[in-house]
Amino acid sequence: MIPIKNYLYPLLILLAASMWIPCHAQKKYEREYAIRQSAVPEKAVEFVRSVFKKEKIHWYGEESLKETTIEAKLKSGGKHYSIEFDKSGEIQDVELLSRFSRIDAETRETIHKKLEKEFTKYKVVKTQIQYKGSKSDLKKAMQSDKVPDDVEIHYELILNAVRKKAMNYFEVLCNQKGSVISIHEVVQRNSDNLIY
Amino acid sequence: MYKSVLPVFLLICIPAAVFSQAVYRAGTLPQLNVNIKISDNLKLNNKLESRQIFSEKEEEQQARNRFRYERADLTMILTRKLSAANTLGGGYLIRLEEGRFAHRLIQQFNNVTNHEYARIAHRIVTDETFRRDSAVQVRLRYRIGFEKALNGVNIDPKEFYAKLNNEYLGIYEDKSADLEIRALLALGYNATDNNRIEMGFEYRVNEFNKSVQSQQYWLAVSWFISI
Repeated sequence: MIPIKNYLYPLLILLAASMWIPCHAQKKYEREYAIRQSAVPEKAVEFVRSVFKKEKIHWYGEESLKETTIEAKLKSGGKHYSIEFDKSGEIQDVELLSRFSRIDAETRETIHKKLEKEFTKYKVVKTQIQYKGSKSDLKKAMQSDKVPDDVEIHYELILNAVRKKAMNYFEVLCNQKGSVISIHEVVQRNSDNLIY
Repeated sequence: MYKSVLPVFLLICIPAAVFSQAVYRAGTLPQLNVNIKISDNLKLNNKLESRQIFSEKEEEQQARNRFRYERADLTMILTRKLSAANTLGGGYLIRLEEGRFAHRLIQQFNNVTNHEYARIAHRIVTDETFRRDSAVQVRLRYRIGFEKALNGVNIDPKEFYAKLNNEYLGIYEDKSADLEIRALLALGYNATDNNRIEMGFEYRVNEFNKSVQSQQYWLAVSWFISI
């Protein structure tokens, strides 16, 4: 029988040593956390409640190096909404979970052509329609299927793709006509504990 | 979230402590995982796992409540990224148990997908175990795993998370087949994205080909480091 200290002590030494391992893999600082409604600026709560009376709202805070934002996530009429505010409660944008196939055919075709140039291989795994505009226009966009003309529409796509031999998820932002505005590599969470 | 996880954990743990006439083993299952990034698409996993038994009962024998160091496993698996979600791996395990070595070849495929509020992982493994004076044991394993942040949507640094694994193993050895079912419920702490620790309860049941099934109750502690 091997005494317990033979394996326990080396394990404890390794555990202590790991606290000194620097975290170089973090490419950007971004942290999100659930927050209570009472901690959300009143005008943000009032805005969401003026559109969605009975729906359950999940509130999140998101910290990055640039800013802190507040996000309301909810489901209404089968649609998933993410409504983003700055920390004072001013609305930034509204995102609506959609499907790539729901984007009109002409825009979809333009997006495909652009993506084929940027990526060796890709698959759209998530599509969000982003609305930006005045408070009242955004309210109208959420209350009816008709989006006011002054509302700026963007498509935020998440791709499972290969780009310059890198296999990863990418976030692509396109305008209403399908032109690519930006491409960001999504920092993937470590999944070693799910694989091994 | 903490309030909902705790009762579930206790519901599983309490019956585990009440050992009946069944054949069982209960103990600890510490695991150290060191993952080394070789290139953008290649990773080497080194796993050291051991089992310590504190209570056990064999068929038609009295239960024994004493410490016994059962075995130690050292595994090395090389995985290659097939896409952002899929990986394919192969490796080797060496096991020391009661002064004898066993050797295992491992092949595995993984799929990990991010969902709105959780991550879901599928793992398919085939392995072949070789022991002196024994027939080759071949296993086909499937595991589904769920992982959920206890605060917010993503598991950020310095946050706790819950993990649930359920695995089914088909075992074939010496013209005889068996099934093993495993379930793990763990609480994890993500110190950084490269340093995680998990502690949980794991239940295993096998020997379905016998009149009395063999059950195992483990307190699992896993530590994952990426360098």
